Parts: sequence; C-alpha cells; structure tokens
Amino acid sequence: MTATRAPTESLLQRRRRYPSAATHVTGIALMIVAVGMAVSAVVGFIDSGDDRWTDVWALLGSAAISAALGAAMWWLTEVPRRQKTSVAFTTVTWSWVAVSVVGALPFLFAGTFDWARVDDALFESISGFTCTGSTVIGDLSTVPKGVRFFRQMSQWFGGMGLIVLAVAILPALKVGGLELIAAEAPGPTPDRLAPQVRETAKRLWILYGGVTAVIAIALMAVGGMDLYDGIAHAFTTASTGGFSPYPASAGHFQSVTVEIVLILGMIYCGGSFALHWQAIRGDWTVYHRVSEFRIYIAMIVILIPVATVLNHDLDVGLGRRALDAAFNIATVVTSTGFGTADFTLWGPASQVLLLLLMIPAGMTGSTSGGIKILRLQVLVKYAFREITRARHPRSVSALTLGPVPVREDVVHRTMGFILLYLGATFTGGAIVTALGSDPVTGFSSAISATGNIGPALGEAGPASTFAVIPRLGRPVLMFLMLFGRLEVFPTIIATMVALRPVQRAVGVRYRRVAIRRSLPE
Amino acid sequence: MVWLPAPVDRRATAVIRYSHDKLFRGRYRSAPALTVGVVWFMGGLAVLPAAALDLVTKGDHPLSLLLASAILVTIGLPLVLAVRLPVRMSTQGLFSSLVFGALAMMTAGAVVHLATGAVDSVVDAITEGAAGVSTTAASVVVDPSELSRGEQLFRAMLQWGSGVMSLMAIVKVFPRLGIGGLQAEGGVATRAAARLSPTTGGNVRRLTALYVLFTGLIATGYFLAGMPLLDAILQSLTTASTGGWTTRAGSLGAFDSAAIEWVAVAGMFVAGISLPFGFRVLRTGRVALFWRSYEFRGYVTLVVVSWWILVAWSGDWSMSGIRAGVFAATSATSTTGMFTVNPDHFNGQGVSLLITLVAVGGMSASLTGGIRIARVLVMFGVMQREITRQMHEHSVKMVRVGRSTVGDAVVSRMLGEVALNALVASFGYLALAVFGDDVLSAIGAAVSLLATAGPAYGSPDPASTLTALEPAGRIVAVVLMMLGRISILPVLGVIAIGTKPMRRRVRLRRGTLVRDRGDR
Repeated sequence: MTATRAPTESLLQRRRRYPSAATHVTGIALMIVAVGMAVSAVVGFIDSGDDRWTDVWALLGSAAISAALGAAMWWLTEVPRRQKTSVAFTTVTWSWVAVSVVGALPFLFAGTFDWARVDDALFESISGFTCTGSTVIGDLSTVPKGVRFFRQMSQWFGGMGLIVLAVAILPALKVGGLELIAAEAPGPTPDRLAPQVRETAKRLWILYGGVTAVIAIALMAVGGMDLYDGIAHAFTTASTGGFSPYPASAGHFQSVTVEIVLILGMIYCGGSFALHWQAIRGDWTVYHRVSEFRIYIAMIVILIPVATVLNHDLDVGLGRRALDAAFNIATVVTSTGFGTADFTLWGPASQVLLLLLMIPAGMTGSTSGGIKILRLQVLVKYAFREITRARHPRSVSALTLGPVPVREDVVHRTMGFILLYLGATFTGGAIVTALGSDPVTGFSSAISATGNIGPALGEAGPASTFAVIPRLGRPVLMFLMLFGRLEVFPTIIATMVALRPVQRAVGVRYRRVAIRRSLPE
Repeated sequence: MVWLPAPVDRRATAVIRYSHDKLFRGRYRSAPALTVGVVWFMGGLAVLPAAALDLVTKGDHPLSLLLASAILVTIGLPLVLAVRLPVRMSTQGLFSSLVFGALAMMTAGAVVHLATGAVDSVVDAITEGAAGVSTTAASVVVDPSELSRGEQLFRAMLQWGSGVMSLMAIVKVFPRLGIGGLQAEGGVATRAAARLSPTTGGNVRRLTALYVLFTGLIATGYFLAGMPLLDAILQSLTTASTGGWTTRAGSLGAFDSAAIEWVAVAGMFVAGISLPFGFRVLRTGRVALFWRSYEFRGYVTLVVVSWWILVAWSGDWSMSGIRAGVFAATSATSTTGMFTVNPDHFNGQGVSLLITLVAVGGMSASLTGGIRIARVLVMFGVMQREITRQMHEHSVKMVRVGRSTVGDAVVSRMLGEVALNALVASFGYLALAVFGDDVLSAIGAAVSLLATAGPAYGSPDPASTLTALEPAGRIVAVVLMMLGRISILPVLGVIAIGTKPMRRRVRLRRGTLVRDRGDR
C-alpha cells in the first residue's frame, strides 16, 4: 500500500508551487464555477428542446475549460503564509474578474452572442457574478434553457462569494462596515460567527443554501412554479441578483402569490445574513437591537404607501398599484432588480424616489449592493454632528450608533468609502452620457451598475435592456458593477497594483528627466 | 423724556419709563434683532432711489415704492434704535443673525414686490424676494421688461445688496463658524480675508470698495459694448453679485450683442474668484499669487475645459458657437444663471455638464453658490488619503490640497456641509419631481436652485424654473434658494436652537418611558 502511494505523494510534495494567493484562490473559484456549468449542462440535457446538444456542449466545453484552468492555477500555486493587505484586495478582485471571464464562455459557445460581441457576453457574465441583473440579451427565449439556468446560477455563486466576502473577508480588511454593527449588537460579533473564518463561511453558506431552498419550495408550493422556475428564481432571489429566465422577469407569471413570495424573499435576503444567523440561533432581539435593520424595515414600510400615493394617476386599481409599489420598492431597496411593472412609465417623483433608493440599497452583511444603510446612517450622523460642532466649537462629540461611540478612523473610512463610491458612479455616469446616452439613462445606469440593482431609468428601464447603452459605455458599467460589488477598495487597490509597473516606469522616467534638467549643461 | 404723557399713576409711569429706557437707549442686546432692523431700515432707504427713478422715468409705481420704503423704514428704525449688539457675540448669535438677516432681506423684497403689484400673491412675492436675496436668476415675473424702471432698479439692488451681505458673512461670520469652505488649501481664503486690514470692519469696507469698483467696471464695459446706460448699470449690479436677473425676457441673449456677452463672460468669471484673494493680489500687484492657488487653477481649468467640451458637443465651432459655449460654462460655474442660448443647444450631454458645473460652483469666499472648488479639492484629498490608509493601515496621512495640509476638523466640517447639501438636494429632487414633468428637469432645477444659479437645466424653457411650479413647489424652491445662499449649517443650527426645548421635552419623555419600562 505504502509502496503504491509513495510516487503520488512524492509528486505532490515535489511539485513546485509558486506563492500566489490571487492565483490559488482564483483557481478554486474557477473549479466551483465549472461544477455549476456541469450541473447546468445536466439541466439543459433534461429540459432543453431542439437545441439540447448545443446547450450541453456549450456548457460542458466551458466547464472543461474552467476546470482545467482552475485546476492548473490551484495546482501550481499556494497561499503564502504572510501577505500584504493589498494581496487580499487583489485576490478578491482578480478571482471575481476571472470567474466573470470564464462565465462568458457558455453565452459564446451557445451562440447567444457572436464572437464579435465578446464584450456583451462578458457584460452578461459580470452582471451575473456581481448579482446585478442588468442584461443585454434582447430576447431571452432564444437562449437555451441550460445556459439560462447557468445564468441564474452565476448570480447564486456570486451571492455565495459575497456573503463570505462581506461577512468574513472585508471586515478583516476593515472595509465591510460590519465593525459598525458590532458596536450595536454585542455578543458574537457579526464578522466572527465562529472562531475561524472557514467555519464562519460554512455557517453562512448553510444559511444561504437553506434560504434558497425555502424560497424555491415557497415559489413552487404557494406560487405554483415548476421545479426549474422555482429553483431558478430562488437562486436570484437569495442572491438579490434579479435575473429571470424570462424576458418579462417576474411579471411573466402574472401571479400575485409569486410576487408576494418574491417580495418577502427579497426583503429577507436584503437583511444581514450575520443577523439572520444570530436570530436562528435563538437571539431574535438582535433584529430590534440593530438600528440598521430597524431603518431598513421602516424604509420599506413607509415608502410603499408613499410610492402608491405618488402613482395615484396610473390607470390601475389601488391593490395592483400597492403591489407594484411594494414589489418595486423591495426590488430596488434590496438591489435585486426583478421586474413586474415598467417603472419608467411612472411619474417623475416615483422615478426619482427609486433612483435615490438605488444609492443606499440593503444592509451590510447581505447580498445586496449599494452604499448600504449603515453607511448612510453614519453619513447622516456625521453631517448632523457638524451642526453641534459648529454651535459648540470646543465640544468633543463622538458619533454613536446605538449606545456605543464609533471610532473616528472607522468614521473617516466610511466617509472615504462613500466619496469614492459616489465619485466613481458620477464619473461613470458622465462617461456613459458623454458617449451618447441621454443624461437620465446614463447616470441612472451608472447608479444601477454600482449599486448592483439591475434596471435603470430612461431607456434602460425594466422593459428594456442595457443594449441601448453605447457599446463603449458598457465596459464602464462592467467596471462599476465590480467596483460596487467588491465594496470599492479592492477594485481600486487591485487596479493600482496592476498599474504599479507602469507608474514606476513613468516615475523613473520623470525622475531621470528631472535629474537631467537639474544637471549643469 | 420730555414728551412723555402725564402719568396716570406711579406704576404706569414706571412701566412707561422702563419701556422708554429700554427702547431708546438701546438696552436690548440682540444681534439677530439688530440685523433684522438694519436690513429693513437700509432696505427701506434703498427703495428711495428706485422710487426716484420711477418718478423720473415716469414709471407706474413711484408712490407704491415710496409706500414700501416707508413701511420698511417704519419697522426697521425702532429696532435699530432699541437694540444694540451684545458685548460678546456667541456662535448661536452669529447663526441667528445670518439666518434672520437673510430672511429679513427676503421679506423686504417681498414687501416691495407686493406693494408695486409686480406679483399677484404673497407666495410669489416671497419667491421673488428669495430669488433676489439668494442671487438666483429665477423669477416668477415672466417678462421683466414690463416692470417699471424703478422696480427693475430695486430688483437689481436687491441682488447686489445680497452680495454685500455675503461679503460681510464671508469676512465676519463664516471664518468663526468654519463654514463656506474657507479653511481649504490651508485657509488661503480666510488668511487673505483676515490680512487685508487689522479689523474685520476694515476688511468689509475694503472688500465692499473692491465690489463697487468691480461693479463700476462691468457697468462701463456694458455701456461701451453698446448697452443703454441704465440697462448697463442694472445689469452690472446683477452680474457682479452673480445674481443673473436681467431687464429683458430671454436673459442676456435678448440684447443680441457679441460684445455685451463677452463683457458678461469677463464679469461672471471674475465674480467667481475669491474676493479677498483678488483684493490681495491687486494690493500686492503679484499676479503670480493667483497661479499659486490650487483652487484658482482648478477654477480656470474647470471653466476652460467645460467650454471646450460644450462647444465640441454642440459641434458649432463658429465664433457665435464658441461664444455660446464660453458664456454657458462661465455662467454655470459662477452660478450667475444668465443664458444666451437654450442649454438644449448643447444636447443632453451638455445639459448634464452644466448641471455639474452649477453644483460645483466657483471659488470659496466668492459670491457664487454650489459646493465650491475648495471643497471638491478636499474631497479628492480625502479619497486619496483613504485609499492610502487602506493599503498601509498604520500610515499617518493628512489631507492635502496643493502644498497645504488641511486639518481633520476642517475636513469634517467640509464633508459635513457637503453631506448636508447632498441630503437637502435629494429632498429637493423629490419635491420638485412631484410638481415637475420629468426626472431631468426636476434634478436640474433642484441643483440650480440650491446652487443659486436659477435656470432649469434640462427643461425645454430654462427661464421657467419657478413659473412652471405650483405654489407649493415655489415654497420648496424658496427653501432651496435660501438654504443655498445662507449655507445649510447655520439654518439647521438655528432650527436646532429653536427646537431645543421641544427636543429636551421629547428626551425627558423618552427617558421617563424607558425608566417606566425598566421599573416594570
């Protein structure tokens, strides 16, 4: 036995491993995505009609490429024991980028997009893995069922990565904002549900999987969906992604119960998974203790009647108006992006309301995008603290969340985050507008992309696709989706690290020129 | 005391004597009351030239203007006589003076508009008064050329007078409150304002002199460019103050003169520069100082790049096209709000650029509205610092603007102000969207009003910012304009002072409730 094993072990031990956390983690992510593709191929094989084999081969081919690449990356590298903070940021960013690139393959292999439209396939994939839900596919019914299932699954994978990212990784890098909740909800801190990050991730995934299953069962049992639709929609509800296998999105089912189940599912998943875990463990009061959750629920409860009243001139009954308002408020606040009604046909006030809601979106520690309500709380308190400070210039007033003061460096980091988030969104909106979109479409697309919402206003509303955005503007939106999804800093730092050789070269050249100029003739 | 009526009894005499002493020896000490009195009294006097002009030009309202003047003087004079400044001015007193002074000026404007019948309702009069005080180029008067010359003069003086008030606030109030973005770039604007003379009063006088000189130069420029003398004077008053009201419908484009437009461009550009800084440069003769200021460089870059982009987007590289682009960019950046062509001329992209320019505004310590360039530079500094901190957790890094560092307290104040502006703007978008036709014009109008520019960018008719609104919408507009002019921090500060007893009661009640719950 020992004799037969020895050569394998020695091969494993003797292989040369390059220390690269980014490559190693990316390799694992690609292998997981390959599994997803293989599962989708099975679904395609069972469910697809005439284009069964196209579907299956597209997905299996993509899975093979993804698995081979992932295995090679994983095999040849290892995570170094000590690493800089910037490496963690780079790892997060590049793994998401790599997964998105590979995720574009099924669309290309299945012929959803020509090879000349690689950028569109990439857009669709990034929109999936970042749980955004924007699409450039004009007619979804032409896409094979297996690929559509993979599209739904990409969002679920995105959500799976996000939960760990938001609850376990980013707080360690002091980005996620969960350290703010820790001030309000003493006990097992939300970023440490277990002593080890791995254990925390496991628990969250169990919860995530459980929630997905519950939503799927509810959609099938109460909403009357079949197995395919139930699972497909549960994937994108739990991940607050918002993709649907149908062009009319959730409106395809024309079912009030489906809408109600989706509303409840979206609201639950827009809440912090760390809080949900604590609540499931028996500490139900955590919901009441955390002000972010109170505001989150209050916001939804208050804004539904407001939107209903603002839409008073629509030619539909009060019940339908209220349900549309509830659905669209929930879909925007949680950054899901399902559609039942075309809100671009609503009055300007309702549209502005939705646009403003796209900025904060859901709670920290959830799968939703946006600035997050907690950071908005910090922003408002920060602004109002200045009033006190202006009145009493020598006062020392700490910013508090609940009874506990928040450290000033955390406050500054939060403000920096908000500025960068809004700055990038504005710049992206300006570029998209400059490239030919009308201002409402351009800026709302940017807000929607950074907040990972899905639909925007103007021409990019729920009834339309992002194909209306100029082709050069779409890469900008892709960047914004990643930027918002990864909570701003990882993307910036990864870009800076990537550009460092260029920067260094320019710096050396600049210094040489400066030295040459300073030398006497 | 001689004129006192014979006392009915001793108590009555004592009351009257006490009241008399209180009233006419200025025993009441209240900065806000004195400010209100001075504003009304001076406002009343300022109406007199308007009445005289109406009389000379055979306008319709000399008597109405005289009546308005009498009302304002009658209300203002007793306050001036009865009240004097407190020995020590508290921060709360400064807040209140600033806010109530602006409100007094707004009511003065409203009284005159009502007296002359230029507007129909009280809401419209208040709206017009607010637009005047906030130096916003929006109006409920559809065609200003139908107003008498006296009324036109009063309106121009209202905007110009608001400029003087702003100067006083820049020198005396804002530095003490740390608002207005004056501490950016190492407090260049504040230091410049503080070093003009040993006293703040001297600073105000010098800056006012500069302001008068500047207005005179613009008037001369307009006149030489072919504008009628009276129009030139009136137009210079609203250009120097970045007010933007004109004497004709269709704003400055109604004069249809390239020379006039270039003079206006120069005037608006200079009005966007920090006045104390400008004075210092003139005084020392060192023009290079301008270029050493990062904020000035930012201002120039913003204007030049914007007009180039605007012209490029309009695709009209003819002389008139370039002029239109330069005019629109300068007018938006200086938040003057005058226009020569419809902003739609620059396409949707141009409109969004103009909205952005209006939101940014000119230099700190200038008469423009908006966030101001200094604050934008500080925001960039904060972003840069936070990225570095994220990469190097233990690094100690200050926010820098150019060669100067900006302290954490100043950064907090500036970001706080920007955040408050953003919150108010959000409510503004929503409120104006309720009364508006589309999303873009609601956002354009809200930004424009909050930045005290005026035109409804994004709307088919830029002059319809206020006329397109219902009365309730106009009240929202008044709030936005006044908040934009006074700054949000003092207004909220005054509200905080005013609601203090109520908040204390609520807190006490909540405390009792919590205690009761605890007991149970």
